[in-house]
Amino acid sequence: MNRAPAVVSVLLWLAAGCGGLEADGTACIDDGPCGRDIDAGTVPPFEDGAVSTDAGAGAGDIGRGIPASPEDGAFAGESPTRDDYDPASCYDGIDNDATGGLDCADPGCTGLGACCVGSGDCCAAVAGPPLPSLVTLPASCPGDPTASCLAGLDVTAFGDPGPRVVDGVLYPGGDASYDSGLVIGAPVDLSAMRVSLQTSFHAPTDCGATCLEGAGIAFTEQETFGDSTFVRPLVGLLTSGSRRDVRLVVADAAVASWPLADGEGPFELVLSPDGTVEVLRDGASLHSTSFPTTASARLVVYGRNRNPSAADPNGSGVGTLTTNVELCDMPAAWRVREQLFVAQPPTMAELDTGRMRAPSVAEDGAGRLTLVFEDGAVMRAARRGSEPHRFTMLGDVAFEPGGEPWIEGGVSDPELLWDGSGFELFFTATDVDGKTSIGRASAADPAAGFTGAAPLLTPEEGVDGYSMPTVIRLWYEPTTWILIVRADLADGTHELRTFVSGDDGASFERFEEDRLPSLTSRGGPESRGGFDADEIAAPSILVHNGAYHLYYAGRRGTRWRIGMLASDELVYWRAVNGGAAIMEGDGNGLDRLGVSDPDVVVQGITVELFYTGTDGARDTLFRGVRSAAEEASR
Amino acid sequence: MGDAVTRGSSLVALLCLSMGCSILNKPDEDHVIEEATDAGLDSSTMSDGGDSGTDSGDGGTDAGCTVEICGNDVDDDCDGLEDCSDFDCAGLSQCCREAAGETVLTEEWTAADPSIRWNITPPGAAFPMVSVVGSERRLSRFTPDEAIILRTCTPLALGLDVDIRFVPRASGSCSEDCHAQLYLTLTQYLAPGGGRPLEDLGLRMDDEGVLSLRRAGVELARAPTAFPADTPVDVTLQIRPGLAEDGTPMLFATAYAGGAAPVIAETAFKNQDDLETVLSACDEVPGLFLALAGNGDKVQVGRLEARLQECVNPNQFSVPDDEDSVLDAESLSIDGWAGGGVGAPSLLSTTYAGSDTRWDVLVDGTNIDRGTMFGLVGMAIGHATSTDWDTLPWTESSGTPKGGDDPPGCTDGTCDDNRSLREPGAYPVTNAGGELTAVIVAYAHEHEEAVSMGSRDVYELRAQMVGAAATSPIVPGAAIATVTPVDDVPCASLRDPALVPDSGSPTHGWWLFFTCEQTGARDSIGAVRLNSGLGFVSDSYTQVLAPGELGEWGQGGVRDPAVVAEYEDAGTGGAVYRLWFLARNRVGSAVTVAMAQAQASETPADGPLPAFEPYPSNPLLGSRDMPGCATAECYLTGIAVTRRAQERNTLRFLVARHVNGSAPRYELVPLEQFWRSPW
Repeated sequence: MNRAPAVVSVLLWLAAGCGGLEADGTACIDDGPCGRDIDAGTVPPFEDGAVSTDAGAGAGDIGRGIPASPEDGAFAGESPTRDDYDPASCYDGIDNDATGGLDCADPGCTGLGACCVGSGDCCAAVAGPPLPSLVTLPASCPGDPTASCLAGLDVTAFGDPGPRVVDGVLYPGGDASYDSGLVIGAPVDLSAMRVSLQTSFHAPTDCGATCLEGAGIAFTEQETFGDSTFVRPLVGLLTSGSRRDVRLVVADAAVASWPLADGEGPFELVLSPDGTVEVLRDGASLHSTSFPTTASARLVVYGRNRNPSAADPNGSGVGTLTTNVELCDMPAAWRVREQLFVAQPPTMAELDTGRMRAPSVAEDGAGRLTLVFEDGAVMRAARRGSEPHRFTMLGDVAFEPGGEPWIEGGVSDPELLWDGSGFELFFTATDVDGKTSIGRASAADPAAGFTGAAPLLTPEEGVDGYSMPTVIRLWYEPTTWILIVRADLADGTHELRTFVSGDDGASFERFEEDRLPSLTSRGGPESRGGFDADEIAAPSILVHNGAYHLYYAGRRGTRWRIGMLASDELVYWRAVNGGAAIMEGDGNGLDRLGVSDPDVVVQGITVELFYTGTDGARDTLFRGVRSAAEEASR
Repeated sequence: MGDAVTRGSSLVALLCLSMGCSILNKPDEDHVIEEATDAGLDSSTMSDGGDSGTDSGDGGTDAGCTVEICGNDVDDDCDGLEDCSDFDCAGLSQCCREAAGETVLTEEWTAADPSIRWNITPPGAAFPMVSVVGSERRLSRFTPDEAIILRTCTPLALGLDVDIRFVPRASGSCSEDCHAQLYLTLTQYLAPGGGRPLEDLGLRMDDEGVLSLRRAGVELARAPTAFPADTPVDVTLQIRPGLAEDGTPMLFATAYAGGAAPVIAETAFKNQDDLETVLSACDEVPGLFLALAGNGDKVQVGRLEARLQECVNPNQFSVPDDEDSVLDAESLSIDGWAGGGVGAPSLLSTTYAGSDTRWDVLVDGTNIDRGTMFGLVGMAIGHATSTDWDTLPWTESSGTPKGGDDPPGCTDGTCDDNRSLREPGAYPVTNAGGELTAVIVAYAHEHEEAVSMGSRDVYELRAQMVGAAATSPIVPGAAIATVTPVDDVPCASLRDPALVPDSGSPTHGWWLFFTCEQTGARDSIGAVRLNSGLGFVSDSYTQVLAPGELGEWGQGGVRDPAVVAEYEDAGTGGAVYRLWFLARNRVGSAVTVAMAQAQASETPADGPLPAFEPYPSNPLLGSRDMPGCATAECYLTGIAVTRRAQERNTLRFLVARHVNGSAPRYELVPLEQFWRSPW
């Protein structure tokens, strides 16, 4: 075993599970039955089954890897003990124990931090929620309710006639063609937030088969509301007076219904950002299905009452509304994508070479964000100003090739870290013959340039080159560094490989349990699908919500997209977002044809993804922003 | 079969053209899509009222049957279809037709200012040096890291042929990496400093005479032998749409150099989903930019020509070149009673009263916004005609519904509960001269017995014949065919009827396709047989398509069949049925258009409907793929199809959509596809 001592101690701490002996004293074989009923011959595949077996890992040597968090490696919610789960069976697309829960939905897997990212029920309360938590409707509320009893709440009335509040029930107005109701709160990001709504419905007592009386609650993508608004619900619960039922409406169609009777308990609608919607009544689940999530939806309480009768002058209505909004960690829920601008002192002219790529950022001790990126053959450094997408260059050239043969051919793929007193720069070095290795340099002040460049990792036999480093230092074991690189092999294939530092934090050795190589191998004869069918590059690792998140660039044909893997222990990796890309060129602007070179920084609930965007000719720096729960829990 | 129509003996005589039929209807906004349990998603739990699994002779299992070889005049797989008529050959080169007049580029390097056509890039780059060789002009020197890129996008998804002349030369000053290359690329220009266009596909000739296909910096294939120096090599690069083995829609490239056999065999190079779709000429048919680049003076490029093809590509719908007006209640002249929106279209293309062109559109509509979720909105059926699609409004003489109450959506309680007629599915009756004489209309009608028992949303299907003049009323009491749920078929409710003949015989009978709604299961598509007099044939129910058989895209239910049936002859010859339908994905969030096909080598009288196989690359069309829907909120609600009377290899679709906005719009959008008629 060639792992470094510091990590050995971590592994010893994790003696349970597949790393130890089974009760009968037999060693557990990699990928074989191991306390859970993994089917013989099944192994954790990567997306499209790229991996079959991994006999090379060594019998009896499956430790629990290097946990992302020393407590349990899982997120901060309810979690099983480490004996209770086996990540190998949690990402394989098989209900191994036939309990009905597949992979991350299996009770034995839900505790994994890697299962939390992208999960619709792994969320945390959000400060300043977009919806008022309670819309109480009093017994008496004359005239326009928003000007009287609902004054002070973030609600707006629409429709002609507008809604009324009578005896604790909101009755929409409207007519045969248009709706009426209330717009509640601010736009909600249903692609990142989990929302529950609870209310009761009032049915008209005198409504024949032809009446149009109805009311409900729904999210809609519409943005403007007036006297002539016809609400198109994205997802909601609507009553129909003529049918005397409550209907779950999804994407403009009713998908389930229940009889409506006054006096029964309230309905609850729970929307998860993974696209799951559940309807409950009196706390009991009635129905669960899916809906199309969107980054901006408005909550409306609405309906129409055209034919109120003498017996029931108010028609259909909706009672007091309770809401709850939580933020989750959804990897593809980007709410901002914008170009970065780098100003050059003293003129502050914008740097615009079309060859700016591979951004890497790090926050220094003063909380300032420093950026290093490639600009053609050299690297430049910049610091963020008051606007999040504007940077000012530090000096001119921060780093460039030259000096010694191993670095004479070029430097690229910067990876910037703050070590507490200065910056560390990891990079790809190209020698005079075009062979690549990993180098390291440092700078107290990037404006003065990075110095002390020295080789860190050079190719061994069978490897043509190492490149594209990403580095993380274990926060609970500061002398341990994790290094993931791309390895281009002599047989023409390439893969990602994981290395671990020794106590000195300088020398790196292969991580034996590493399953990334088989998961990420590309360039071989086998054909595969997916956005990363042809090439994988530019890994970027960080720890978030108790798990390792590994962003990477994947290529199919000429199109680059960004994908993501997650792991609790650096051994087993889960393809997040169902194996689909988490970001791609959106057909507009300078990143319309491709995105690559991800580098991620997390500050509070804000996840910033810095990346290279291309329009087919120019490479330009971009950032994407999404919100993610800090301490997500189920 | 012929284009004659006859009259039958009993009630009507029907003969049909093998021309299209249509379908229509919409997945009703107010209809509840039944959610199924896991078991309910399994089609095995669905009752099977017919022998839909009858061996259709679909190749490979019977003795002597093999895989279809496209172009040998033999039905190799014994499915009744040979060569280009066989679904299996649909996307192949020999099954495409050159789009008349669609030479998108002829370049002989004679323009005084080539920058009008070509983007000479990067900034400051010079156009490649042009030499005159005899009467021919050639690009004779290429500067590295520079390129010329055609300013307009070249559509590829329906196929393209590119002819290019390369001339490798023995002499020249170039010493390393000398070549010239044709690119198909996403790149529109090069950044300052230059570089290479993205190599989505490269056809390269080097100074050794080696012709190769490249992609993303990697050689995919090369011609087996090098071409001699100083001899022009005329290469035809064929781009064709098709499917990879896993069903992924791809583009394939094949290179010919004079001979009948390719010098570079068909090679997959591009996922159709990754093509350019938003720019210039590619906003309707996705494509790439054509470019030239190279290095040095040892490979010359002569004449260049690019011609669009029309290959069968079910994944690609075209907006018609003309006759492309979007229809709605106003343009159909029925906004007087259908101002709340029209949907569920049925489309006929025939000749009539001496006119070569006759379009008939039947729809349902109402005076109340048809999208409301709050009540039971009554529908009625309208019918409008035109001899020129784009002359709006179309002709509708009565100003009232052809069937159903006026107004259809009354809300004052004065209407009958079962007043609603909806979702017309029509088929043309023509005379011996091929002119339209009558229309058979099937429609959904609320089941009176269920209504009398207090159950709503239970529909039966009815059919009757009406006159061709679009003034004949549809009278529910005059219906000939009535197919009732539960009693006649194992469905709780029947919707969205579609009629096609059940054989090539003009007097035999009909297949009536429909949406089958079942309690506790997602919607499926079924069919029953009607006899020549439109009488329901007992025990003829066949489950055509069930969501459990489909991928995620269709597991939320399938509705609204639109069918084209074609028969080899009037006897027991082969048959092919092409079925388009609306599919809702498993999670219920998206409605798309998909298709399935059934074929049989024989069509015995009263024989079963052959089994339908979903197209491997479903779904075909999403709401965002529709013209005008890239940024708008659109919902697909119905589809109709017909074979064009004057262009039998062109299918015209009419897709119903609801476009949301400050005022919702209900529109019918015409689209077309090229499909080769089997017979």
